[in-house]
Amino acid sequence: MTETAIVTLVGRPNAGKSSLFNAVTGAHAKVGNFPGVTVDVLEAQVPISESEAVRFVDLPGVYTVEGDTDPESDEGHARRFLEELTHHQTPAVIAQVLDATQLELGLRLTLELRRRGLPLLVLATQHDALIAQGFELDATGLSEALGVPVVATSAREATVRARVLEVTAEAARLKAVPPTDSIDVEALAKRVLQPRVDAKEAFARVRARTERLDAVLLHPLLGPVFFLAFMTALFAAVFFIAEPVTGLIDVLNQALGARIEGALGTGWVSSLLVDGVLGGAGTVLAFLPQIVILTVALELIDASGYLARGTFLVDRLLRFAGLGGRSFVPLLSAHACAVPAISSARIIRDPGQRLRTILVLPLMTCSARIPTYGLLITTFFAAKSVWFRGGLFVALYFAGLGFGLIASLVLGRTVKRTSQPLPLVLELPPYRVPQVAVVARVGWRAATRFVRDVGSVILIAAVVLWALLTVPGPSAGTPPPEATPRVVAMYGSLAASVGRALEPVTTPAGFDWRLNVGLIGSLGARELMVGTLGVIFGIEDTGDDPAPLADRLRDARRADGTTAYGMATALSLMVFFVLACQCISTLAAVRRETRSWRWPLFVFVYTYGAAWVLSVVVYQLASAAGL
Amino acid sequence: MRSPTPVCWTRGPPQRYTRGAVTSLDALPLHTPALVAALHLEPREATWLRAVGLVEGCSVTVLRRAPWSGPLHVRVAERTELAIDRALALHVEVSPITGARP
Ligand SMILES: Nc1nc2c(ncn2[C@@H]2O[C@H](COP(=O)(O)OP(=O)(O)OP(=O)(O)O)[C@@H](O)[C@H]2O)c(=O)[nH]1
Ligand SMILES: [Mg+2]
Repeated sequence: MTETAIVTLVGRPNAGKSSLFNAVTGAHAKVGNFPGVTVDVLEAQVPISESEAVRFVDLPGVYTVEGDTDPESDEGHARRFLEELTHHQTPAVIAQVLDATQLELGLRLTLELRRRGLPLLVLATQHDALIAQGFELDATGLSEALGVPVVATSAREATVRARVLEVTAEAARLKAVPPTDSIDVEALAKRVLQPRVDAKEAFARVRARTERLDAVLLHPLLGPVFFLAFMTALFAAVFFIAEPVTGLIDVLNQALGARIEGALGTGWVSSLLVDGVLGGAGTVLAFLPQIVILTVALELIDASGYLARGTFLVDRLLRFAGLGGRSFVPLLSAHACAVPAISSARIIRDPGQRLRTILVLPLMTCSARIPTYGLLITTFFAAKSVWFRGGLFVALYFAGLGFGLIASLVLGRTVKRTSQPLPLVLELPPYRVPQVAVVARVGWRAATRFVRDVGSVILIAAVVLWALLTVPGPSAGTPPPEATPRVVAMYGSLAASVGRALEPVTTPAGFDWRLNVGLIGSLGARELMVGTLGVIFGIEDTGDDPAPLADRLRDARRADGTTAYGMATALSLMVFFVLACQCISTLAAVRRETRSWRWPLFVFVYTYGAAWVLSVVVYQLASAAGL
Repeated sequence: MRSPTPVCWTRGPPQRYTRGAVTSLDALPLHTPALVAALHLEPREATWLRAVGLVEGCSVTVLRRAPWSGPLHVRVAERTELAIDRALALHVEVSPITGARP
């Protein structure tokens, strides 16, 4: 298929570029009511005939295309693409996406783009929102004044795709010459915005809604209280709503395991299926509901416009810690996953704050930690009340945040110090009601991605681990008394030998060789911890009925027959998981964003170092306290 | 395009530009409409701020201030709302619109 044109969507942040891009190309670019959602260049082809296609490009938002910009920022990435566009072979068209409710500001960018000398067209989007404010755009009048095609549209109307494709095909044929005239944008905006009958009341009504919400959400006292309460409720919900569902999936797992053993006996095939596949990957799968809840809640914060308000609320605190208000956005999204959060640090204008934010992001409680936290809490705190367990779970989230702030406080005194960090400037968009379809799709995609990961990476890792726990290693170990041949083999396996070799370092933290194997298994991805333990204790479980992993962990013995783990071990392991950056993808993202090996190495060393030291401290204190 | 970030984004020492009615944005009382008179900033920072929407001559109202010298919430030209650093507001000179009701 030949490409007849490249259509690049350019516009101010939050104008609606990605929404239009999705509507036209059918892609699923992330959309959110916040200036700076898109931080990367996205492309998609749209066929326009049997043999021809147009390439659409969605860029990060830009306020201006003239003057200097930081190449590492989101605007810098967009600007670089625009610079390179002029050297392309394929005819390039710039489609300015202009938020019709902010016409004057958008038109200033139009004048800059007109001076570029590339074919230009204007997609005045969010026309539905403009109508709700009591105005209408005279697209013909605007087109005549600017000398470029103008479409008044909305990403939410059914005909948007056809209309955009029609006008872009036309624009590709135009030869643009930089204009010589200058336009008074203020007067032009006044002229082409036509008030409807009820303009005054409508505008006041729309504004009053945002003002009423801001009066509460940005209130000096109520605002922070609401924010803390919301986050606490969210983390607690992850625990309380998901616990029964997780339990159910766990029960299904057990039943399936029993059926397999019933049908295949207890040979190595059955061990591979039950211990490797079900014990490893199946155990992790039980954490699907938590991950969906978290993703959906964070999506609601994005889509409503609350995200920008959060920035306003926490700017002072973050500035004290050496970060800035804009750091709030990556810090929050890192609670789902640190990898996209590291890219979204591009919206931080100050380079020092950006680097420090990237360095502390791995400490935020990403969803891959949930399985380990969940397992440890249900296993070792089962005797405590459900409120205690829920509280502990929430405390682990705030521990991640707390350590993040401490780390940035330290880094703020040492790494990339500037006497005058660039000041916070952020647009606060009007609140919007999140679109159910969009939120549902985001949740659905999180679920499918998680299932796919469990079905691929985690499954393979679990099987590899099962194999490493089967092939013999250099040392035999001392299996528990009355161990079956399979268990004796595991104690003499390669993985066990490596785990035992680490024991001198990890015993002060309360980790024996089995937990060490888990920690090695989760070196690249922390969600492997639960899978790994599932495999080890699946093999070790010699009872007739396969017991849940929690029971097996509680009953685990040392070589001398004493109980292997207790609350002290659990707390120590939790602290380790709060701090250690057990994630190759995160380190790769840090490398990509900082363009050096130094910083990912730094992250690895400081997080593991802190994790080990604090685990030892916690284990020793907890043991001394008799836990 | 590539250029190092300036170490300093302000021009001159921090000071309130109070001459008669003219004052700095951070000293403007809440809900008092004013016009932006001047940006006392590094050219690069001033250019960016103008592109965002804070231009000389546009109207500006302070809606609220975050506690402990946190950012200001301002409305610019009736249709845009911004959170801006108080340290930045110190360098934005505004003149209250006389005769306007607060
Ligand atoms: N009512 C209405 N809302 C829209 C329309 N287009 C976009 N939005 C909303 O506007 C907000 C911003 O949309 P995006 O598509 O993410 O904007 P963007 O220009 O890609 O923003 P950045 O990537 O941050 O630069 C989202 O909340 C959208 O739901 C529209 O046509 N009508
Ligand atoms: Mg976007």
